[in-house]
Amino acid sequence: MDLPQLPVFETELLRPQTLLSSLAILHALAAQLAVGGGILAALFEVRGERWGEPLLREFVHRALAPLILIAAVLALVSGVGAWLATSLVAPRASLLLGREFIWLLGAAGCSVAFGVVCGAAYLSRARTAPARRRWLLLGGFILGTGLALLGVEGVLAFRLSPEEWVRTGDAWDGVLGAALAPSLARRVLSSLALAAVAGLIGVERMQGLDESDRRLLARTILVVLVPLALMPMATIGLLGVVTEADGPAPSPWALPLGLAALGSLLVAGGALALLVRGRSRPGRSIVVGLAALVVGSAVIAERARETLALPYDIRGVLYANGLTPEEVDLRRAARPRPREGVAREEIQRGRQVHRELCARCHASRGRSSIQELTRSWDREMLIGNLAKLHRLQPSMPPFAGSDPELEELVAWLLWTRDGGR
Amino acid sequence: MAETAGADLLMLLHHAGLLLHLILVGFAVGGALLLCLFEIFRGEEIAHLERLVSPRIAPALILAIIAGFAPLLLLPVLHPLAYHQGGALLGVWRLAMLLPLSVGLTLIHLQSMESFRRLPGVFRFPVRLLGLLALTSVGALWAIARRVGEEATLWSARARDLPLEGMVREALPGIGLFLGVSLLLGAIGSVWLLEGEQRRARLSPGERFRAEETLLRLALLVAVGLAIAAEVLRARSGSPLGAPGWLLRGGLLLLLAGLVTQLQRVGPGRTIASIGALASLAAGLLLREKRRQALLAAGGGLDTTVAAAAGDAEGRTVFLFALGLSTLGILAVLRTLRRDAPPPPTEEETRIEVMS
Repeated sequence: MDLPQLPVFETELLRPQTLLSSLAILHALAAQLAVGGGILAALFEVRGERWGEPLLREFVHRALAPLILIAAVLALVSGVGAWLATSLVAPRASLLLGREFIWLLGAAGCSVAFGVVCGAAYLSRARTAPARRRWLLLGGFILGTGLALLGVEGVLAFRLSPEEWVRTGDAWDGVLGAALAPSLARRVLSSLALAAVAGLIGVERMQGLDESDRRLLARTILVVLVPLALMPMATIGLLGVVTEADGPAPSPWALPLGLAALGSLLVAGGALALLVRGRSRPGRSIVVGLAALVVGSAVIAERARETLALPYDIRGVLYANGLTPEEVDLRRAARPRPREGVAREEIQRGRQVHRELCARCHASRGRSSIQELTRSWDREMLIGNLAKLHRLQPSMPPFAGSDPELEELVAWLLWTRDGGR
Repeated sequence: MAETAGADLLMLLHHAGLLLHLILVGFAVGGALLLCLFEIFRGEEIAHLERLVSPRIAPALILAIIAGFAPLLLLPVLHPLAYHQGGALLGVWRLAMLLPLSVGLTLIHLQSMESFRRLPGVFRFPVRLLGLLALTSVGALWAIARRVGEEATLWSARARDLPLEGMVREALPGIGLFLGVSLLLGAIGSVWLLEGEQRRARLSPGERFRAEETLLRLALLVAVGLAIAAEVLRARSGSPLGAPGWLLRGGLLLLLAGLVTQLQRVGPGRTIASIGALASLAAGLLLREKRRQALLAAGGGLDTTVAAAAGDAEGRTVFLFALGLSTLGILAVLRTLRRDAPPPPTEEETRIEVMS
């Protein structure tokens, strides 16, 4: 693999990893809400026409359409931000993903453009166009955004299961890896759940409805929550892929992901119970609880996905600090550099080691910086702990430098701790 | 051979994506700018223009962002070192773009809403102006970050060597150019929309001509300014004209001829002006990219591994298939929209709506 060494983005203003995670989570939630909103709107359109219920169509125009629009705009802006942040925080990983999947990402962009045009056309003609045309436009929106979701999900799932790609070097083997199916299933279910909860909030807030209207709307929405019962299966599938690659040790994210899946099961069970009971609908407090559960589960799942590959950016291929396992071996096997020169040079070399090995995730100063995280360690602890960080903290890659480099890094750390810059 | 062809295709897509992005951004920003100007100087003519341009600005901006993903995706692959050196030096500036982008997009969306258009001008004007300022600052931030990315290969990549003040100064004419080109694209786009409205009998020829004349005069003024600026810049740089330079001259001449012809109503001036504007924009982009390639060549040139990235024949086929199908689909949707356009509100309906 021919990846150039790329410069490190480092700032004390914000922790780049946190920024990337926040933007990625925001993008995922907004995009899922837009896709799920489209599916829900299609369900309402079809049922409204079949049942002869104009209220269902009215709900689409007044509540779902603005929701889809806002979610789509938010998804776009956060998508730009997430890509910019990825190329800053993990330049080698983003370069590898860009090179391997440039055509697929381009195809996803074309799909999303088609979906957005269909969505905008639907919004502008939702009240005047005949049913068939409205359905076609909504279908176009779901198809376009759904295909884009499939493409982007393939690239994201690649980070968790690149084994086949490593073997064959074929980009399609990377996309169609073991993690794709469970990962995509989770995303689709999550999309439906988010849209349904937003729809239920819309039912509560919409003016001019009587109780029977609200019941009709709420019960139509509850239908899309029932498939959430499949969430535990998808989660087990995803964790199975990760565990298979990692060996017997369970992922630290197994418990939160499991709890999120359990929450989804509860939501599905509750929706089913309300549907079976006939004339009831979820009250305001239940809707608030549902919203908290669904959004909370989605955020936990996204956070888990962001960190499931740790200590790698791409499992088994690229560590989170941008080094490949081969490069770590090479650095370790390199002959130790003779420690000649004065202390000043040692400190400068230590700064260089920090930039090469640590700075991608931990700036020299500020929040979550290497200074802050190691401030209670004395010299011996610094040397001992940094050398075996991957054993102390499983999400950390191994220290890739030689012994003299470790000492240089510690010398620089102690120097900056004393106020040196 | 196939890999070289693939790399060329990547470069072509980069340019095409950027051109489409510029056209769409130009129409959106130019449209908002025109509405602001009409609000101040031509209050009585704004109604038609607002009904036509305002709802199209937000979708144009959204599509512009999607088209902008092409260069954003391809740039790090084509020039990884330069792109990431720029990122290491000015990453915060790149990220800072998100804030004005969010604000600009939200405000532009707000002004596109039908209920918003019924508000008095005193409310509409500041919202459009703020949206415009936010989007202009996105352009300015990106221009600065891009220049740094270009120049970074020539520096020692030490932040203290960064001539930031110079970069900001250099970006200022670029911002003027951005606004001028946007105004031109917004005006030409609006002229097409006005003609379409008249064809659908929603405007009388007199109404169309009055609004069109104002737009064309404005576009002519901007085009003359741009032509003079282009000649002065070329004379100052002393560089040979080259093919893109001639294309730029030819495009600007066509643009001027088209605008004058349309004002005289003696021929297909609108079409000629549009071709001229697009040719000038494409030529300007090629000139800019030529300069960038020259700078990058000094810093190592195109990434050699890009050919391998582009060599995936299956991936290329899937992409081209998706591109073709999406384009056809979008054209079909636009055709449907034009065919199904609802009838215009009657005066009585408009009065009731405004009162309500």
